[in-house]
Amino acid sequence: MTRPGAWLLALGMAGGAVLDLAPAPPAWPAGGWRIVQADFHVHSFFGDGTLSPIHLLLEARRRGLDAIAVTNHNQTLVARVTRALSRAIGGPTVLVGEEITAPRWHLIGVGLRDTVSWRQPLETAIDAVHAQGGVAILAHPVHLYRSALTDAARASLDGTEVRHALIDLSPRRRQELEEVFAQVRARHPGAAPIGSSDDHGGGGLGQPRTYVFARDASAEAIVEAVRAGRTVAVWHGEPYGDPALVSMLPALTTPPARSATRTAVGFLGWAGVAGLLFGRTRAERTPAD
Amino acid sequence: MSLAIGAGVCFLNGGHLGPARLVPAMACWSFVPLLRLAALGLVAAVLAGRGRVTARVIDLYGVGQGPWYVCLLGLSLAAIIDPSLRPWLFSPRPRDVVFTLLLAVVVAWSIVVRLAFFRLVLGLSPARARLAVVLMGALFWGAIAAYWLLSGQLLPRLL
Repeated sequence: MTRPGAWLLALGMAGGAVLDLAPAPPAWPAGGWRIVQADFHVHSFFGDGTLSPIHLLLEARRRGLDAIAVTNHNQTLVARVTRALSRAIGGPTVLVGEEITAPRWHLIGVGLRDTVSWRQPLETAIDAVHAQGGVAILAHPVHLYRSALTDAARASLDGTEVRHALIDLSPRRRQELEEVFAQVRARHPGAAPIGSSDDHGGGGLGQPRTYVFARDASAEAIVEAVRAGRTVAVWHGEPYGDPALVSMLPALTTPPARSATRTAVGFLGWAGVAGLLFGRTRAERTPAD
Repeated sequence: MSLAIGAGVCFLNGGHLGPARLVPAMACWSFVPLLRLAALGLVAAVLAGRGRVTARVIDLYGVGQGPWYVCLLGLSLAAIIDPSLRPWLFSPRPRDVVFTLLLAVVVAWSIVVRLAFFRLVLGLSPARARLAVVLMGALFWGAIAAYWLLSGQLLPRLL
């Protein structure tokens, strides 16, 4: 009675399980720091992302990320669940985050304990993030999301997303993000350049990403490094940040997206799913007496 | 339905299946068939006077999701063959025109199938079948919007 496709699916799943056993990326030491590859703006299921917490962790590891901040809109519950899962499976490091989403601004809080309310001005939301020991990063500050940006906010932000997936769409976005970063730097010279994917499960996790010069890959060390501005934003292998930090980066290569093994395992699973969805069992093909 | 969506999510994010990916994905996305079944039960009760939806009706409703299965399998295959297509497919303007067109075709096709389902399986008149499709959509998307609203994710974007 086995449906066609069940065996193929089982084979594809077994192959996939082996692929998911890939080890964590090796540590990169540089000038007394460890270079941590991080994506500080990631959405997951129960928010408006498509990936379950465990899937997010496996995919982050596959893409060579040492740390992610789960930043669903106006909630932190899933981030805390993902952090607990991460501890159980040995990484990557998960920082509890939130995309504090207000009508006129979006703010990424990273290293939080509790949800920060969006029903307040940007300046007090930044203060609320700091009060929890976190860092406040202005999210995709293109025209639509920066009308509430005041001098006080510029002075207290820990960083801005100077590299974001939006840049893939238009060079104008890149210029807008760099302008805001320059404005923030003018008020707060130590502000960190951040590269974030804002991935919602569409396949873009870790592109762009942030290279953090931290003591180690712990959440506390990463937050401390962002607060101190020791970051380089990287977009398609192109670094943006303090030249002294950029010079310490090793050759920037992204993990290969495709391999023959992965493609073959993918095909097996795909054929299995197609067989289960559209195939019929022998009994179904045989007309009833 | 959960398998189709869960597998689609896995292929678009990693290009392969694995127990730790597929099982949680199916569990997470099981809200789709559950909501659909609840809406189907309600619509069948109100418009067709059926107090109970049989297993055969549910089976046929599932078969009627064929357009979505084809779409998900097609996107998945593209993602396996060329992973660089994934961000391309989900990029906003102007490239999302392709995705929007694809979505429009699938939605139109699935509406045709659902109309046929309500007419042939539940025996509704053409007018009632149209109403049933609208009601199903309103119940399904209404429940999702309610979740977004209650979890504080929707309101700031509406203001």
